Amino acid sequence: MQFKKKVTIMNNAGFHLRAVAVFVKESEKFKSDIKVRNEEIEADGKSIMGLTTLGAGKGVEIELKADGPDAKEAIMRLAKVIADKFGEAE
Amino acid sequence: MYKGIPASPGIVIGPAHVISNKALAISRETIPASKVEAEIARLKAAVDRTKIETIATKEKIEHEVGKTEAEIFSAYILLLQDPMFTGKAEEIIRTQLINCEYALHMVLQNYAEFTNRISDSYLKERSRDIGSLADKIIRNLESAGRKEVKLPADKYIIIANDLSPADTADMDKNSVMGFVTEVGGATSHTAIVARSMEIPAVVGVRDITSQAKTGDLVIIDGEKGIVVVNPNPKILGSYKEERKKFILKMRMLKRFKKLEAITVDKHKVELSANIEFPEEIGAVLENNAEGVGLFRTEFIFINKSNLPGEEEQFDAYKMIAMKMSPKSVTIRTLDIGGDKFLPYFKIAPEQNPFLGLRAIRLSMANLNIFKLQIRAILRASAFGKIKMMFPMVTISEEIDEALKIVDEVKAELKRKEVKFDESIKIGIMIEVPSAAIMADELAKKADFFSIGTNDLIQYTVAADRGNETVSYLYNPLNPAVLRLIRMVANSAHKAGIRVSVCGEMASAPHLAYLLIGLGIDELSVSPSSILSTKKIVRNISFRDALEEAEFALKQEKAAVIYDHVMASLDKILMPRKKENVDES
Repeated sequence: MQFKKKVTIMNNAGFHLRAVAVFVKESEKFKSDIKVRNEEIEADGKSIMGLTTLGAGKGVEIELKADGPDAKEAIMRLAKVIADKFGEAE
Repeated sequence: MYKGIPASPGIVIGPAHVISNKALAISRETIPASKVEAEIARLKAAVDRTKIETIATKEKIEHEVGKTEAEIFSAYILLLQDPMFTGKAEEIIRTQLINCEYALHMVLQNYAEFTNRISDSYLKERSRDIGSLADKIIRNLESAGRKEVKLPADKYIIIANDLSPADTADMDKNSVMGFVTEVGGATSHTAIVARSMEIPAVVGVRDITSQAKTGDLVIIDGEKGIVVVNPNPKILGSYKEERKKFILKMRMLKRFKKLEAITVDKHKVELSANIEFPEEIGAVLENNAEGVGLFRTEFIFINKSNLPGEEEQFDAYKMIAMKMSPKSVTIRTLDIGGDKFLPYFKIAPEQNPFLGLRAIRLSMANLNIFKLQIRAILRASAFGKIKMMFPMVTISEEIDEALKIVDEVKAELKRKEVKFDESIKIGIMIEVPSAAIMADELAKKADFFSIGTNDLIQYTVAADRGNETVSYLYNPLNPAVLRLIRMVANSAHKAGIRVSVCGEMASAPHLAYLLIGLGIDELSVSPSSILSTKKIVRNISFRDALEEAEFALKQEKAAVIYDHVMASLDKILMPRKKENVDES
């Protein structure tokens, strides 16, 4: 099963190391293959290093893609992590 | 001899321990196919060691600084297991038959190609964190050719490109005699931590890591900012003398630690500490300060990418309140604007920033930030003795307004049944002439006054002390400034409240003497100045100080006041100084 969703980065600092770590802790819980795309750059949604190469700052729209048995749940969960600003207080 | 920026006073002589944090020199080596598994095992062992170290650092930071600050280390730990990072290095070793060091280097180069394209400057800068993690792994790689880091002796002087404040706070004072760095300034976080820990340090010494080798004999003069590598006998001899004098002076000061800050005629002066960072608490307690007279909260806000949340602030305030308890901690609300700005919080450009939106004015114009901070301070007040104060109050209405906001937050906390100190004392800083002149009225509303002398002087004489052409006007002994301080002290005492001075003025001996005579109840100085200030207090008589102040208030020129107070102080301190030397 494939599932896609576009989401906008909401936290001030963007997709920085700490935020990415929060994201990966969630993405690793899913069996599906997860990809994150910022324009022409695509990264593995389970790799901290990969995700930091996206350089997605506040206000940037990224695309989440999942392929696998729990694709929909994975995308819904990860979109929420981003919407919740990775739990960062601001 | 090398000249740098004096960061923390003191003279030390000892063997150098040079830490190279520059890009490690990495060579590309081919390995035979039969050694591939051994090479991968070497990588894994180094990654494991790095992980253990990172977990330890995380726990230490969590414990001593706060949970939020420690979060980045959780990210590092995850990163160490990242298939794209260490996994990729393993793949390169296997397929290209090269050494671990170079494999890691290739992974980073490939990564840099991506991150160099990032347009967001903050994210681009932060992506370098991964490079420092790779350096750690490389340092942890064991190899026949690479020697384990050998310390030159039990006690040594650290020479590094840069040291983080956490590195500095981590230093074991029994082994680290002092340190020299290539980067940094006198007001950097690292320098402030060094001063409060009383570790002599010189920063900003260019290229020192390539000039000195581990084991070289090094002299640091932290007062003058001088570093000498392998000194000749003559220089060594004179520095040995200097060091003796310094040790004697410190030893004499230490004897004041347990003594009360009281004048010879039994007038009590409260001595507290100004701090900027949580890491300084150790030094505050070590010097037996009677409390924290000024806790600047800017550090929580500066060097951040976004506004710190309530929890982050609460954690910091709570930690300090708990560590100081039962002694009090006076927390000053955010004092930015002027020359201090926050990257994530833009204010419109101003023609005169020091006469613009700063300190309490800025807080009042951004009630969300102000309320968040007040809530964090109030919540922390349940864990120790906290006082709150507002910087740069100019008119009475500001106190009314600020107190109204505090009451709103208190009511909200009560509604939610969150604990806080309901009788928390709320004071104001007097640093604007209008507030000093109206101090009698303001004293009816505030629980205490704290005079910020740096700003009070510059606003009174309308001169920027950083501007060389007018800095001659900036003089703490300006009689107008002294009269204002007297007015503030009198108004405070008439209203039955206490008044402190928390500017730099409080720690210069002659100024401390005058301030006591002007009626200041409490002097708040840097942690490392507590004992020297106490020495002054214990050597003077309050009656003399009052007379000195009376004399000063009648003068028209600062120079006359200066000569007079210096002469008086000389008379008081000279004979006693001799006595002290004899005793020790």
